[in-house]
Amino acid sequence: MNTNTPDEDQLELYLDRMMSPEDEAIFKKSIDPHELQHAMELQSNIDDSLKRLVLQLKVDEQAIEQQFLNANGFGNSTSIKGSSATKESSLGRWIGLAVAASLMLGLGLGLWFTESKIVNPVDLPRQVAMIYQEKVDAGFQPYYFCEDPERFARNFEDKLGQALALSEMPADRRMVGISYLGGVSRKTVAMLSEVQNEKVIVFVDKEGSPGIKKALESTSDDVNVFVERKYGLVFVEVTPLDSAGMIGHFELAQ
Amino acid sequence: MQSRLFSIAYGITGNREDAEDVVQQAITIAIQKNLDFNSEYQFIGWLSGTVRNCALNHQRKTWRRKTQATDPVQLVSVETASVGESPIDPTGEINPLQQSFDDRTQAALQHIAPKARCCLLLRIVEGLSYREISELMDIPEGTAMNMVHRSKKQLRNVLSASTEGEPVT
Repeated sequence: MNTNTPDEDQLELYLDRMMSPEDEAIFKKSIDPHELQHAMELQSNIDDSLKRLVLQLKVDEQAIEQQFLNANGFGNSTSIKGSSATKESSLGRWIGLAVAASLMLGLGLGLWFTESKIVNPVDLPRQVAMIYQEKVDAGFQPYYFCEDPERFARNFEDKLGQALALSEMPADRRMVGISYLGGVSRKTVAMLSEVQNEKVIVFVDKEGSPGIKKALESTSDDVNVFVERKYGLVFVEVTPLDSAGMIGHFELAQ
Repeated sequence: MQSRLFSIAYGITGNREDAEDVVQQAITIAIQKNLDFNSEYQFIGWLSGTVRNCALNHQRKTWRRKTQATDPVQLVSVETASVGESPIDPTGEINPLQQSFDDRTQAALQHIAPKARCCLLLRIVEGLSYREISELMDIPEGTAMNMVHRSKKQLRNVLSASTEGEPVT
């Protein structure tokens, strides 16, 4: 049950950034600015504290990797290269497990298959055109829907050291969400988008990443790959269209 | 991804070590189950649900241990273990080694109900929308928002009182 007074409800909505600009203006006039400032600062400190609390929690990644390998008959080996009839017969289950393990270990989708061969988890650079096709075939669902610009910026900052934002876009394009699909490296952040009703993925990684050459090897006639370097990052747009529609909208977050 | 799982686990257990154990356990289950997933979205939903179930099971076991302890000394020690990192020692004195703002935040979190704590952490740490929180926690969107707002207010009230006159960083 909500026991807040209407004013308290308004304050919570304001702090949660859920007010329209018009309501915000009215609310600010109705509250003591010092009280509002104090609440904002305290809430910001609490938010930071909660983030520190959760972000310091860890799982034993080595144990997970070993469990993953053991569960699939690879014993103590850290390399899972090569293929056999047995391994190939469990391809479907492997895909699920690969997603599970790789997401948990932050490896993107490095543990995956290429034409019935199992890929070594350290062989991370992959052709972006191929990853694009897999993602489209799998339903083009992002990991994050990312409705919050701050959260969007933080995703890039955490992985690549640069907080990014998107500039205003025309009506024919939109960001769908964020995924971690690997590609250039295990740090790659992928932004799923739609441009003129076509599915488009922008892979972002650090400039100079050694995986970039492999990532750009094109094996598809169905898509085009555009590359732009800025802010110390490399942006790779994979699109069925004849021009890049999303790269130009990336900018540094304020 | 990890922070989402830890937000759920910590929200329900209210204890760092237990949260880490619960997430580890859920991942082990994921690996052992050998399931297929059509998308990351489906996988994340399944794993988040598994973390929630593991955390609830863990909480029930902890509660059972608490209710089975009849010796008052044993009862105190079990309760202290389940509460976790409260900076207040059994004599009521503030532990001088745990006086940072983070410690006080953690102690204040113990006074928020587990479900509300989950919603709060999913909103603040993971930045989820109320629609996403409502799906994960299986509660209406309005309830999720109400829980977050009330929890934030409660934390501000407690921490404002405990930090009067000293800078918070």
